Amino acid sequence: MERAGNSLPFPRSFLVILLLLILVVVAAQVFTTRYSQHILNMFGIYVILSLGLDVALGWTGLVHLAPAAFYGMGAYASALWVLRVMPGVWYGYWISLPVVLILNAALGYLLALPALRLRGLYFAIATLGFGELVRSVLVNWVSLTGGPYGLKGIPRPYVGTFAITSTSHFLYLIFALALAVGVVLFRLSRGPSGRAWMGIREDEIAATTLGIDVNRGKAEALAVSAAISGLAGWLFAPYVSYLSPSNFTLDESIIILCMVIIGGRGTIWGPVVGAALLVLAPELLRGLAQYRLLIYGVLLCATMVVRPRGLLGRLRR
Amino acid sequence: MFLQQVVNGITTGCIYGLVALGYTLIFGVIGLINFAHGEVYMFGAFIAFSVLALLGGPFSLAIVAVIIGTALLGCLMDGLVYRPMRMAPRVSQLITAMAVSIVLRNTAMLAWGTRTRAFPSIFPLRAMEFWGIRVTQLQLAIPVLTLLLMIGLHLLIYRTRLGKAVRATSLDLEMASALGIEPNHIIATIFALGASMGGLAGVLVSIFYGSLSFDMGVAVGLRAFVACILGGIGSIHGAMLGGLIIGLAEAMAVGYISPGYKDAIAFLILTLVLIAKPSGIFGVLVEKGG
Repeated sequence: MERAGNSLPFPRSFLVILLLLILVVVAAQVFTTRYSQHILNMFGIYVILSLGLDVALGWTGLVHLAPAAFYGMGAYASALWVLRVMPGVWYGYWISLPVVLILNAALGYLLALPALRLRGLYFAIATLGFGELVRSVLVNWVSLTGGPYGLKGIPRPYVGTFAITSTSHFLYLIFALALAVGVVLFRLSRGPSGRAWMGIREDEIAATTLGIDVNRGKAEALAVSAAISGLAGWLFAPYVSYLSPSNFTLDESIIILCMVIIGGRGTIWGPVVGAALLVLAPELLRGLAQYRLLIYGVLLCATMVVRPRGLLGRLRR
Repeated sequence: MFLQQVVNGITTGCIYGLVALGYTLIFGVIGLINFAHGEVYMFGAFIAFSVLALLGGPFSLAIVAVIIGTALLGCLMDGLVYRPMRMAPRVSQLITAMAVSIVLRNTAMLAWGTRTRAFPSIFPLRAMEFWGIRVTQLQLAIPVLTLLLMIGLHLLIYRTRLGKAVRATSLDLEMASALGIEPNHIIATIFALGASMGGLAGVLVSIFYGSLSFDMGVAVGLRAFVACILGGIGSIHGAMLGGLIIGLAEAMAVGYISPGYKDAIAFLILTLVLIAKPSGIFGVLVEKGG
């Protein structure tokens, strides 16, 4: 007789987490060059970003085109906190984490104000505008952000006197957080909030009749999505130690969007697979130098034409 | 200063309007935001450049080549990529359009190189002065040409059999096909029409600024897109008005605030208008995109 997964003494999801942890440790041992570890780290950051976007896009059905703006705000907030607010203190970086999360969640909630009025495509355009606004501020508010030259010399994080410096140190930090985000989102998707958001996606009127506050749900989903994107920025800033507005343009948002859509939106694994493909594909195609982006575009087209709901999109049904 | 910025704003506004027409036509009929439309505008400029500078052809030939070339490009995009995706979710279509845009931009980069090219100066651009405002002949010609194209398009859509079929398809695609209209032909026509308008806009801009580059379509495509949403997507007159508003607002921002915020100003206006009137100024088609 088969029993439900969660009534077993050893939950299946716990096994999955353990397996993923082992995988990360093994990966860190197998990929020893700095280059391959850097690719892994970027993969981890994009996993967080695409998971974050999926909360708005895949779960709640809000076509949100400015994940890079929240990513950038998280990165700049973390960097400025360490450089200006708490310079030279080792725990400054760690205190900046709740600051970034709260700031981003608040701004995500703020972005939801137009969402309460606008629907579908029009909402998408408003977010596009928000992204452009954030980028303009990053470029033009020179005294705060360094303008187009960016912020240099962002210090590495410390734990007491131990400095997190090498790419492999970051690998553990990034993947621990990526895993945490995955677990939190998995729990959330089974809980009342997650289900409410998916209800909003499927049918707003039906959701309302079931007692779901649609506007509040949308605002919460955007806040969570923004906070997760901010977390990715918080990790990115000390990892690369140099930020410039060109890291957070519309192109970046489009890449994150593509990861979610290609992998399959509204699933936990879809965005992860999408991130893996879109981080790896350009690296594998590096030998083809100038044809790289062209092939990338063609592959993207082909994937969409063949599987419009994403690679993992249909497996779920 | 003020009038000078008005003149500059009208010039760029007309261009945005012409490109916005392509977005609005395609969206009106199949509900697709063709993100690759900005690249068609860029291809238009490069086709003219190739005929004039590389082949040494006359200007009239260049214009014919641009119209035919971009129309073919539009049909090709539709036939190869968008047609198989007609029934796919809207978001997937949007991503595909972005992918098409990447493909086109990189094709242009491989074909014509990464550096900014100088557009051959075919017309001597003499500037005239009226009450201290500098106006080139082209700045006079662009609004006139735009107006002519607009009138032509209006007549085509509202006064011909083809236009009637287009309007019928945009109202109800299935019903139209039940009445014997071949929707795929209509859609291909719309793509060809929108693309050639965009291509011509690209040529006008290249003559105006005297230069062109493979990434020129990105910024204009985005602005034009904003313009057509602003005017009310699906509305031909709205697209033109939206283009003019964006062009003027940008010129004012450059003149009075700071050139740095030029990019954000279009979106700021758009967001404000959308919050006040969620379907745009001339909004008629409400829920086609979801």
